[in-house]
Amino acid sequence: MSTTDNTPLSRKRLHTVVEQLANDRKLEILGYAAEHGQFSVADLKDEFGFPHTTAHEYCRDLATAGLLHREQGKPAVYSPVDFDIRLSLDAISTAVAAESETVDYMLAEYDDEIIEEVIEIWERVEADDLTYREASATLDMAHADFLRLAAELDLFDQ
Amino acid sequence: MSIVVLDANAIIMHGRAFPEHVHTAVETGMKLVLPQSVKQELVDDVLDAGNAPQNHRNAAQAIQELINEGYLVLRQPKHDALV
Repeated sequence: MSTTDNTPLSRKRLHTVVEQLANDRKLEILGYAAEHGQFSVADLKDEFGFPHTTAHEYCRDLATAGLLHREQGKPAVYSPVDFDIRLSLDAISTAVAAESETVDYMLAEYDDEIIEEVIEIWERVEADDLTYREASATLDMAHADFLRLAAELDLFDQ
Repeated sequence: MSIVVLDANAIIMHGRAFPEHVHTAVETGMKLVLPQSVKQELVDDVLDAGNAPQNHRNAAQAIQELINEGYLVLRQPKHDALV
């Protein structure tokens, strides 16, 4: 799977895109975007009869996944993204291998418990008990490594 | 023009889509500033490390290319202010 600029997909991106495209209403929104260009959430309500909050939520999800573009300003206006996604075994293999590289590096650089330790301390970060910097310092990790491992474990999304 | 100062967290959260997102942001009129300390952490330290995995090196190189191409504006520390 790749995008028009050949950005390699991560496992996380793969999950996100597939999850979005598995929703029929979101597919209808993408089709509407392709046909009409810029549109507002109110337009979707008129076209499909979606409740306003649902339409807003779906558009926000699609924009976060990079499948729709949110224009600046209010009320919210969206426009299509000319993405070109291709799924291949090689792309999946690359995504998985890249994740393995990071995890293998962390296990070699720190210790076998580092994944569990990051997951555990992340709860304190989420609870605003620690900043990212304080959490990485507590684990005696390079800050960038702490963030990379958290990203690889999808902790930012939880 | 809106100006955004990037930190390591923001960059890493974007993952491999970071260069694409930078291109989009800059082309829509945003100015993206990269502090020298963040470049040191995500680019220089990684490229200098003998044991950094290839995907980390690729990410570091991608950030360096965004700087070279002018998409990211490097902000040097103002040493004079510390005197």
